[in-house]
Amino acid sequence: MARTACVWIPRFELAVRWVDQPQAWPSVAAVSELAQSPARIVAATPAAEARGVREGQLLHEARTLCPGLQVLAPDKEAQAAAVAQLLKALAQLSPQVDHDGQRGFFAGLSGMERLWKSERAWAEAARAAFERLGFFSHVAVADGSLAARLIAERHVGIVCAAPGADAQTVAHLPLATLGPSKRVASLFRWLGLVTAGDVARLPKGSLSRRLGAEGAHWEALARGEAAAAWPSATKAPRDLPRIETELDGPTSDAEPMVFLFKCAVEKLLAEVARERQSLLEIEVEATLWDRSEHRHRIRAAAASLEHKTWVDLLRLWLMAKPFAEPVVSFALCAVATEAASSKQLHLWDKHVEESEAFARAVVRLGAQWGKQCVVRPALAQTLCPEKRLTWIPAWERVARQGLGHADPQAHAGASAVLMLQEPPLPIVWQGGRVQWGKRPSLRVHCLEGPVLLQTQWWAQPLARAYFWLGSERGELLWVFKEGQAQAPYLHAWVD
Amino acid sequence: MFSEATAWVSQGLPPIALESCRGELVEISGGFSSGKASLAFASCLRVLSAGRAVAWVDGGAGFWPLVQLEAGAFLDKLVVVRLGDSQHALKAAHSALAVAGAFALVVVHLVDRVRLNDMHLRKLKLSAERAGCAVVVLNEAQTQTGALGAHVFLRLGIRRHTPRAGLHSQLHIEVLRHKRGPLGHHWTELSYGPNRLRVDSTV
Repeated sequence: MARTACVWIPRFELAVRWVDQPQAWPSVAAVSELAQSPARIVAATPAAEARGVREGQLLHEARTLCPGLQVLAPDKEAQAAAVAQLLKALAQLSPQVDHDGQRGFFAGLSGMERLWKSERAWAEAARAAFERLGFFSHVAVADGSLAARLIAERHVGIVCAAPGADAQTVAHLPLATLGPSKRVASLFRWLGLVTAGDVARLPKGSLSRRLGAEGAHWEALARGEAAAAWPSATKAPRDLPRIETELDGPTSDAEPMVFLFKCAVEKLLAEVARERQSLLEIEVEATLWDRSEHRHRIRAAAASLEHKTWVDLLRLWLMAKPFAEPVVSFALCAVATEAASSKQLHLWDKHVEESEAFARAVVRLGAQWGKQCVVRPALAQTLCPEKRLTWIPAWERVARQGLGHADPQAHAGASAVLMLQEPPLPIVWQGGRVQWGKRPSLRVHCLEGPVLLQTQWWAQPLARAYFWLGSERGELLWVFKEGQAQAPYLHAWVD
Repeated sequence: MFSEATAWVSQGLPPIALESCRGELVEISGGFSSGKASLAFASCLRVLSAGRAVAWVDGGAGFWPLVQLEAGAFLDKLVVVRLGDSQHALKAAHSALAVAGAFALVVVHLVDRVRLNDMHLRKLKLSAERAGCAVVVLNEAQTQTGALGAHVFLRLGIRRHTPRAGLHSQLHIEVLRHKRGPLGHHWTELSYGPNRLRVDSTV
C-alpha cells in the first residue's frame, strides 16, 4: 500500500520571517492578516501563546489579552520562496511531493523501501533536510495524506502510524478541532457527535444524503480516507531554464547580439518545451564592459513557443540601445511559463523536426555536391564590391559582426536581386548603346552615376566609376569603368 | 518591391505567393534582367522570415543577394547550391527535396533556354509532392509551353519596363498557365531598384 509522509512546520509564517534570526523567537509577537476584516492571528510565538494569544483569534482580542503584542504582516513573497525551497529539498528525498498551501509538505513513499531502511530513517532525513534550511518540523507517516497531516500537527517529532490504522488514528480526534463549518458543527452538536470516530460509526452515506458533498467529505475524513494533498512527480519544483552566452568581444552593436539571442532563445524554448510548458516572460541579464549588470524583463502578450516572436521582441528592445556600455556576456532566464497547449507542442515538435531535417539535407547536399558548392551568403568587411559577399559553408553559423544594419522596412518587400558577373565582362559602351558577347546591342534608356570608388591603395588599388544603366527593354545593368583607358565592364545586373 | 505600399494593377488576383504552391512546380519565364529572380526571392524572404528554410540552386546565373544582406535580411536558412551550369541543377533540386520537411521552397535558376527531360520533370514533381515543398524554376524559355511543359502547375511570364528617370521599373507579370485557375490574367508591379541612399550600401 502506498504510504504518505507529512512534514509539518509549526508557526510557518513566523519561521519564514525569522529563518536567519533565531534570537527573535522569545519575543512576544504574532503574524496577522491585517488586510482581512476582521483581522485574525495566523501564527504566534510561544511567549505570545503563554499570554493567551491563539491562532484564529481576532486581533483586537489578542491585543486585549496581550497589550505588548508585536503584530507582523505575513511576508507572502518570502513564504512562496520558502515553499519552493522546501519542496525542492523534499524532492531530493522523494519524486512525489506536494504542498497543502498551509504548513504541510507531503511526500509519497511508494518505492522508497528500496532506498531507505525504514520509514523512520526517511523521516529523519526529511527532518534534517528541513533543519538545514532553518525550519523545525514534525514528521508523520501514514497511509493517507490527511491522517499523516493530522498526526504531524498534533505530535512533536517523528511518528510512523501502523499501516491500515488511519481510521483508528483519526477516530479520537475531536470534531471541533477539524474545522467544521457552522452548518456542519451545529448538525454534529444536534446528533451528539463529538469525535471523528462517532462520525465513522454512522451508517455509510447518511451524512452525504443530508449535507451533500460536504457530508461525503466528512464521512471520508472520519474513516481516514480523505486526502489533504496529492503528492506527484509533476509538483516537484524545477529550476527555471537559464542559458548563458559569452560574446567574442565586447560590443554595442545590436546585430551580433541578436544573432546570439536567436541561438540562446532556441535552447531556452527547447528546455521549456521539454517540460511541456510555453514561455511567457524572460529576463535578460547582461554583463557590461564596466562589470555592471543590466537586467530587463520581456513579457509576451501570450505564452508562446514561437522562436520568431521572442527574437522580434528582443530585437525591438535592442534597437532602443538600452546599454550604456558594450556588452560582454548575457544570460536568458525563463521567468514565467504556462502549460503549453497541445497545438503549441505540436507546432514545436514540427519546428524541431524541420530543423533536424534541414541539418540532414545540408549534410546530404554537401556530401553530394561538395562543401564548396553548398553555401550561405555572408557579408565581408571590405570595400571591394565583388568580395563584399562571401560564400561560407552552409552548416557554419557566423555571427553578424555589425556589417549591415537591419532595416525592418527593407525586407517587408524585396529589393532587386543582383546577378554577379564573375569575372567582370568587358563591354562596348558607345553612342548610348551597350553590347557584349553575342547579345544584340541595347540602347541606354536611363543612366545613374558615376559613383567613384577608390580603395585598397596598400594592396591592389581599386579605382572605378560605377554606373547604373537601364535599357529601353527594361534591363538594369551595373557597369563600371576602370583604369586610365576607362574601359567599361559589366559587373552585375538586376534580375 | 512587393510591399503593401506598391501600386499595382490586377484583374482581381492578389500578388502570387509562390511558397503556397506546395508540392507543385512553378515556372517563371522571362528574358535577361526581366525580374524573375526578384519575384522568386520575394517569396523566399517571406518563407525565411517565417523561420523556414529555402534552397536556391544556381545553375550558373551568378546569384548575388548582396542588397538583401546589406539591408539586414536574415538569410541564415538560405542554402545556395552553386553549380557552374544548369545541367545538374535538377539533380541538385532532387537532392534538396530528398529530405522531407527540410525546405519550404526550392528555387532552381536555369540559364540559357533549357528543355528538360519529361521523366526528370515527373520525378521532380513527385519529389516536390513527397517533400511538401514548392519548386520554382526560373528560365529564359519564351515558348508557350515553357521548359516544364505539362508538369507545371503555374507558369508566369515576366518582363521589365524601365522608365526614363530613376532605377524604379515596372514588372509586367502574366499568368501563362494555371492548372486550377483562369489564364491570361496580368498585372503590373513596381520594382524598386537597390536602395543607394543607405550609407552602407555597396551598390
